[in-house]
Amino acid sequence: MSSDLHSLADVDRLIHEPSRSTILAILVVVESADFLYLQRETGLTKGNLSVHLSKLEEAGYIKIEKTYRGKIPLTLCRITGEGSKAFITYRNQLKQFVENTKE
Amino acid sequence: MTDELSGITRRTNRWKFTAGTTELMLGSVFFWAGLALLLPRKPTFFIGLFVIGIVLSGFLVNFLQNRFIYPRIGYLEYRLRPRKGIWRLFFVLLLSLVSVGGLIVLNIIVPDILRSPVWFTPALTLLVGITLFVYAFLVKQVRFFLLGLISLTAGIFLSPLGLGKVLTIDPFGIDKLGLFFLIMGVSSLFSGGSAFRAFLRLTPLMEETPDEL
Repeated sequence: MSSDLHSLADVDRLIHEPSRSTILAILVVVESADFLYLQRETGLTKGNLSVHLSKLEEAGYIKIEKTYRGKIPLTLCRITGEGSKAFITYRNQLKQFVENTKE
Repeated sequence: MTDELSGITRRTNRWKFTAGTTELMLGSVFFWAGLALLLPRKPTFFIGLFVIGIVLSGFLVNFLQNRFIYPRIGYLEYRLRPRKGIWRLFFVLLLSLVSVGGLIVLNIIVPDILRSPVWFTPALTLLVGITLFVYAFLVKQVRFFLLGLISLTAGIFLSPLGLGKVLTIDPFGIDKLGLFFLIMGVSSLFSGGSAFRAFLRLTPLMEETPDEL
């Protein structure tokens, strides 16, 4: 296996799933985003989004907080320092791979 | 995939400008300040009208966000200090230093006639215009660039070289300052209103999805 492929094989599999990388790409640029925004951007059903969020929370990449804005319940998601670091590493690995495999 | 992730990041960063609430709030600040300056004035009246106007506008923008924006796109809370904030801060500081330095140099070299208070409003329009250009460049929104152009155009018309000669009633040019604020207020409100209308048309409410796993 070439070193390029090795670098791709080393990527964080938890983040490599497109829906989860989309979630982290959103959360990395904001303080927090609610469930509805993430659902809209990922195009996932509520159930599927919940599962992906739970996996990211279990890994310590995000924090989920249930709160209210006025009388409206909100499920806010924030990226943790660890999550942010993992996502940036993942993105750099992908960029590196694309750069190295350019013809 | 990296392009896709960058696109998501860019889109998320731009939502705060898409619905036009920034201009609605900016426009209301200018509008109420302009109205307070142009109406028969006493300091208490000016402050009262300005404060009440801003509070009412704040409630209105908050209502629009809760009633129309969040149900469509969801709730996003932006960072007060973005990651690249230090460079932006450095850039703004540098620009401020250059502006202050420029004003000092101008103060030394310009003839006495240009130091008159009637030049205060044109100088302010220049400052507001440049600030809006820089902001438009930073957030990559053409609407703020157009507002900057309006500010500069207003500056030309309100200077003693343009309509300012006709409009000057008081020696300190408060009427011109009020007119400038009013022009900027109406322009920003129009820009924000148009953006909000386009947002409502292009961003329908999300359909309910089944809750299956």
